[in-house]
Amino acid sequence: MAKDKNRGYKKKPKGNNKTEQSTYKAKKTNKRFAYWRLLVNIGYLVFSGILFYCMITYNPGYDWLFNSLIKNTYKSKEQVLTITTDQKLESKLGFDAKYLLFLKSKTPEEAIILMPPPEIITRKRDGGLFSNDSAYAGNLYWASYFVYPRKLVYEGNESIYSDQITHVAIINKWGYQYAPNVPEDQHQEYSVINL
Amino acid sequence: MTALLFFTILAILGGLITYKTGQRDMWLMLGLSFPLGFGYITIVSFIFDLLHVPITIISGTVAILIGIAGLIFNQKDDIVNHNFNPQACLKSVVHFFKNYWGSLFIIGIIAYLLLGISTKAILWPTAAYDSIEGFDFVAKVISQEHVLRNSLFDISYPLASVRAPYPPLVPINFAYAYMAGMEYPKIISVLFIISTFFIMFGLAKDISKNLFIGLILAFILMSTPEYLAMSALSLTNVPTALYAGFGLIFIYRFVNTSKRTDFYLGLILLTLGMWTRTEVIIFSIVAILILGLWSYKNKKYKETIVLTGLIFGSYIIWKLYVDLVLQAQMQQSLNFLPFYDGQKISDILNLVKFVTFSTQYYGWVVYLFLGFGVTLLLPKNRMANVNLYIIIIITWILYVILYYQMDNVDANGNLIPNYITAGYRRGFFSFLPLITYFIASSAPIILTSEWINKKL
Repeated sequence: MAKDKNRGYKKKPKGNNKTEQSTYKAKKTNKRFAYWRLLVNIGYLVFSGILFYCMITYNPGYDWLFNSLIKNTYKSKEQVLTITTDQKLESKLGFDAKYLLFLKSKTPEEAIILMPPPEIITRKRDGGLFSNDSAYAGNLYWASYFVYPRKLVYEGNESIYSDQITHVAIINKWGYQYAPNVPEDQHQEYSVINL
Repeated sequence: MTALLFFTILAILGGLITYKTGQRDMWLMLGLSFPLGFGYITIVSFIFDLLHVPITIISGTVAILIGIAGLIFNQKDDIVNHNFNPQACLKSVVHFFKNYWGSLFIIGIIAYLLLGISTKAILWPTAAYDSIEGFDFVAKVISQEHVLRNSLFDISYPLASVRAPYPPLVPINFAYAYMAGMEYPKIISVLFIISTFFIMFGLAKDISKNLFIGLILAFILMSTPEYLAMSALSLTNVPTALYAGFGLIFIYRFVNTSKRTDFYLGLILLTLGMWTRTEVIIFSIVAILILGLWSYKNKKYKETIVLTGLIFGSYIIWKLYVDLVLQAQMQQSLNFLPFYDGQKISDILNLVKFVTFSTQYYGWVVYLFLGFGVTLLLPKNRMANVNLYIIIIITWILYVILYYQMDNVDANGNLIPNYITAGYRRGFFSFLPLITYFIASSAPIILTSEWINKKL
């Protein structure tokens, strides 16, 4: 049987040979299947491309996701790898985290730390450094996460540890009244003192 | 290294549990392996706590190895002689790339998304308020004190906020991540995202009978902006979406196909959902209702009784544990009696409308749901699909009613908007798998898929 140059598969066999007939049919189907498969896959590619293009062009949500959130994550990856966990927490949670991590680093694990009342922990909107939102050093539950297993006691709040204070958190120069031996010229804005 | 080994054996165990349910689809097994593994270790750790056995990486590992040994022993003939065939799995991967090479672009985009969000989750420490005040703090303390009833719940010096007594699935798994030496526990969140992708792909491909359509739908689910962004935070909503959304889907599949594997998976996922967030009760109640109708029709009541027992049993066990052992206040208080507050209804509906239809939050998903809903009017559509549409809407209505019944007003009786703009916004994630599954089973998708497959 000669090969049909135009169609790419062999000419239809003549006669009653059933094996040849079925082989011819199978090859023809396979060839048609291959063309269709190629076409469908090109269709998949084109559809995916159009879908993706429309998503990021016509919807601000997808645009933000791809062009801001994910893109910036890849972009800043190298930089993020070089900074410490404490620095990351500070960058995310601001001065609240920075101060609490400072307390943690300057006190032993069994420390019981006296914290000032909420009005002393001044928020940004009141001219202070602490956060305006609910992530806040004045919140016992939230703040304890950063200093655990140290215990926090807020001035004015009842606690079973009120009479076992080992350290005082100095915020906006509050707290030095519990350490009268510290000279006034050594008073700092933010610190921690050992009683 | 410890973390890698621990989570690998956990996944093997989860895979074996999936296998035990009768599920043989490779993608579904991949997707379900972590969520079911996490569930197993949660239940075991809870039992450890009741028995005063310390929750440590060693006790956890031993429990997992015992589980693996038990499941292999139980199914050894099946695994060795009959169904488990790694060569067939490899063959299906080769078949995929041979016949679906046109999907490579979308696979690349999905990989870019998943890798990006995983990088974000792994590189950044926990900063979400709810997590710091709640489950991450609990996890941290469990990892230090090796007990669930730890110093956070010490009634003489309580550090447990209302978020701390959330059901323990997330805190316990976070604790294992800490105990395995990880600096941040957000690897768990990453594993949930990847699992969600594989499950959605497995289900969508199964119903549409086309791998490319499966991929596109899984991609649409994964790229929902708010959902993916929140996946990088250590919140409980992404695991909840997996357990509640897919749990209800499997129960829905069971009432349509009567395949035991769907029932078992639905049962397990919804139960584990109850161990993640109690709001899963809404999805569970709907699942119980549709299963109840199936039971009534088929005069088979065992399934409904088992599901009801496990769902409410899980809730009661955890509630008793919180009340009697932890002696803590359990999250949001609910008003169980019906009441009328016109202003509250109006405020909730306005905010719900704003959040639900925000394309900034959910991209096109909600609009696709409505658009494909119109196709239900097509004569060729299937009744089962209409049922699914109704189920999703009923679940959503019940979910909104839940927010109405919550004690979420301020001293002046005004709704606290945060409940909707934050709580509902993230809670809506559980509807995303349901919506995507509905789209996969809709007439236009099925007909397109049939047309392509007929030619192939």
